[in-house]
Amino acid sequence: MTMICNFKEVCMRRILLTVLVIMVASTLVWAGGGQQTQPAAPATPAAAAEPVTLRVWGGVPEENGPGDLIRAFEAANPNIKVEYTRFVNDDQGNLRLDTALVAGGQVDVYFTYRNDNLVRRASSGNALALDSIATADGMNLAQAFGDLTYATVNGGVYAIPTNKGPQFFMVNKDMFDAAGIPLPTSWTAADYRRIANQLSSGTGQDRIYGVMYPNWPQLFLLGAQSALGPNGFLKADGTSNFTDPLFREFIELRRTMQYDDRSEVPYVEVVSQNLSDATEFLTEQVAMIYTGTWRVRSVRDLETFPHDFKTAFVPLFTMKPGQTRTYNEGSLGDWAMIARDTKVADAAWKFIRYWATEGSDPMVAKGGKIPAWTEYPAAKVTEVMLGPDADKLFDIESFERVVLNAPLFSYQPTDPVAVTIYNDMRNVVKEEVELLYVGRQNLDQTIQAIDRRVNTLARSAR
Amino acid sequence: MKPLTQRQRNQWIAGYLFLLPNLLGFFAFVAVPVLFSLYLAFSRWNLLSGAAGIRFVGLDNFITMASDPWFISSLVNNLVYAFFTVAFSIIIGLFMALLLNNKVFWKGALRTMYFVPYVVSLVAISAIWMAILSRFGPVSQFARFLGIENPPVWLMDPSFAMPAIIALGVWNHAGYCMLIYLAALQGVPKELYEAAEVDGGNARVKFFHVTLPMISPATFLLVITQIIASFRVFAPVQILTQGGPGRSTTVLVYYIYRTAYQNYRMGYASAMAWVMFVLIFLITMIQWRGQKKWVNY
Amino acid sequence: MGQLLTALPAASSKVPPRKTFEPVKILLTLFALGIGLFMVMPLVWMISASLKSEVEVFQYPIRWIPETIRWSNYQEVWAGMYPFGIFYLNSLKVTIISVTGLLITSSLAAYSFAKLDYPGRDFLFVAYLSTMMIPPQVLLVPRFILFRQFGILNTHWALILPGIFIIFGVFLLRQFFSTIPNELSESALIDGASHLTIWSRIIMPLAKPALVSLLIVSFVWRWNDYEEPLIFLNTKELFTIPVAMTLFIDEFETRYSLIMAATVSAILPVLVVFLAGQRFFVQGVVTSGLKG
Repeated sequence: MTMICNFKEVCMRRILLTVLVIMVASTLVWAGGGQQTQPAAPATPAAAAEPVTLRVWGGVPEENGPGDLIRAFEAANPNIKVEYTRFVNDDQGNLRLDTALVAGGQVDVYFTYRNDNLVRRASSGNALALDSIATADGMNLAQAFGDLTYATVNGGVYAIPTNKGPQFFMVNKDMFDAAGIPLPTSWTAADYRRIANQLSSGTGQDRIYGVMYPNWPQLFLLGAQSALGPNGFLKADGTSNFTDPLFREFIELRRTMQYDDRSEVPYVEVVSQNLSDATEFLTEQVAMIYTGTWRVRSVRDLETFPHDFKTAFVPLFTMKPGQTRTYNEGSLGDWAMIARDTKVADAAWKFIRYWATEGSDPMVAKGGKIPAWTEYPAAKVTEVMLGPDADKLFDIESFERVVLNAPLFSYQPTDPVAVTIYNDMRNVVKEEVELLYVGRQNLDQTIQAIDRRVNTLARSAR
Repeated sequence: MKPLTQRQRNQWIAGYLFLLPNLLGFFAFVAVPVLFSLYLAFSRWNLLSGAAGIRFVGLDNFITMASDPWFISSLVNNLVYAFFTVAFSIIIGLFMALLLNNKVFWKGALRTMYFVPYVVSLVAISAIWMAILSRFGPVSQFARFLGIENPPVWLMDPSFAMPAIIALGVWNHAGYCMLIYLAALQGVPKELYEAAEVDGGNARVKFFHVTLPMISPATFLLVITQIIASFRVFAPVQILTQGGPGRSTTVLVYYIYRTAYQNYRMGYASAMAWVMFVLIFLITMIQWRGQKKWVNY
Repeated sequence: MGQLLTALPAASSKVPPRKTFEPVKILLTLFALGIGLFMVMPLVWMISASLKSEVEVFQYPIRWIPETIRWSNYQEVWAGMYPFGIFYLNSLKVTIISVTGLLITSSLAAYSFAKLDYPGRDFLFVAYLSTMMIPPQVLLVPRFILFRQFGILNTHWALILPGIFIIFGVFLLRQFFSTIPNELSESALIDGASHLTIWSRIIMPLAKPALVSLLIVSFVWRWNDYEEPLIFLNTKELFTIPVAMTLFIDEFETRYSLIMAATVSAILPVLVVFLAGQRFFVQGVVTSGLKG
């Protein structure tokens, strides 16, 4: 506010001086910029005693596990110091990590949460291949973590999974019991529709719905993709597969349940009112939600969501007769990767190996993660993840059966074209299905439009 | 060429000197990034491949754009949004400024209240909007009162989603227009009103012949900056409708953002930004030429 | 409209203020107040949400007074695990320096554009104007690369320097300076005053309302800027408030109650600036040396 004081000559001179100083300073900064170098990263330790700093970027808040894990790691490896930078795993957060990677010299270890980002980062030379490093360290990656298709780029493995993230239905067991419905262990789409109907009641604002989905557009295709598997939306020749009757059936199933049966919370309400599945489920407004392991924490949070019913777990329903496998929106994930330009690759490997295997306890306890490590004892996950009140809050048998012990088959794309267009494909599906829901086009038009637009996308990506 | 007078020479020197501090910063922090993005507009670049990965592709990006349905509808949507938001924000802002410049009690408090939507977080504004437009909210209740049995889900109805976003934009920006107009109204010389009164002018005459012409530079400023701002609308769309239903609220920056940050197509995103730039630039230039007719300096 | 027209500035300036009953003024005030209540709704919502539990935040219909008032949200923001006070100071530092620099350099440039005549002026002004039209999202990465060259990444300079050169400031002041009659500066020039004197003694004092509105608006912008600090800063100790809010975004959930508590805490300086600045809008009309 000095600006608006009385402008005496003296005051003026002072202002001009300030301007001058700012100008000179910024010119100096500019001129000096050329020679500016990044702070030199510590060289590879010649002797084990030389301390090493490891810069780790992850999406999990420090207090939800990484902090404890890092402290334990540092205690076991006194010559390695870990600096953890947390980024929010959204578009801007990933941009932040990417700019840091491209700028170079800022990141040693980083986590990737979306499979297409993994491919992008590995194929553009921002990650270190891990196969030979692991072999040299006496670790068989396939044995330790199972199927690493998603981490394999151009024949090399570029990441190790630190989380197994199946998705499933979380259901209100008390509502099932009250309606006399046994907990489904395997079920068809017809069973699903019937049960959702039975669990719905009430009218107007007090309507209780059978089921609710998050607003992710890929879930408009859930049933179809879970029957068709990865890349199911493209044919072998790389053109759109949306003429497959399964897509039609499932898109229609969700529409019918929202608008005719009124057993699913309408998508338009979820979007336009920012409805949270946790709130709706835990205040007993819906009987089933489609979700993943992260919701376990909400169920345990009785302070935020006071409730007294038991939560049980139900797998995806099947869409066609004889279907034995239901592919999942979830997959192995939370990929730990090493930056290509790291100067401390040995320490970095040591750290991600520790995080993914014997060090993962804090991530289970505080982060709600299930280690992808095949040797991690399942019983420990149940105990740590469900907490001391497990008996009261959860149906433990179904948790172990559906979440822990069922093999995880993901339908996320692996084909390069499918990976490239996955995001746009979801946007296409979102737009066309929304128009179906609001009555601007019928089912035939919807399928035709998606088919045509996905073909265009696939053509341009090839 | 006429020889320069001493006074002209002084003006030249003073002109450049006064501009200099800002001009240097302008080059360093604005012009250089802008030119870099122009280069990107003719390139293909996924960012992760680093500066070495920038491939010059000529006009490819612009050719793609011509047949990209997302680009075309987001452009059309944005023009609709810009027209209505700018017009209503300015009219309502002026109305508020006039109301508050005189003739009411508690001017200070009211001014502050009117400015609030410009400073609060858009999440809060959006949350209220969601509540007002929700299925059992006041707007739907009113529609039922009028005899409409099944009022639409406003934010998810192709006919109402855009008007809802526009209304939110006006709500957000009217206070800002008011602020600029308040500043402008302080500069209207009292003598002009007195002169108008002497000539027997009534309130209407004073408004159209004194006030409006005298604040026209502010109006010009607001039209230009509000058009620019309305081509940057992003957060309300992301929070309220995510561009839907269908493509009905997909606006340019929302699509540019998606292209750059989700699909990592920096070159294409820059190319769209530059098309948008040329468009706004043309609109501005037309107004620039036109201002002589109505802007009073 | 008829009512409004009589409410014109200074329309009744000859009549001394009356103490009598003024029904029109009361009606207008009530009307204005109605609009005002609508306008403050988001702020009330924020305050209310900041005192709620997470579940209550998005419940409809809105419960304006929370069932139980939870001051603990504020406690968690201010005395939780993050140094919110430091974020606050960072924001103040960045905003105050940027805005001060902006006011000085913009008003000099605006004087040059509005009151001086020299070759290239109009071209430069158009160049200025046009850069305002590029959406900031596509400038983010170019700026990142540039700032890396300058060596100012992960410092507050990366926020302050671009903040000083917001082109809008030049445009706004240029528009206002243009409305100041040239006769004033002409006569000063004839009296032998330098341009610096005219700028400081005549133009700046007359443009106070414009300077104040620029101050308010640019303060709001810098204060709320999110994307630039997010991309340009790494060290938590340097974070400004908007970036610090990401700390309340969990892996899968956004904790709106805490974000709102932080936002309500953060809005105070903006309101102070506005309240302090707005007295410049009531100083009454300019008495210029204009003929007539």
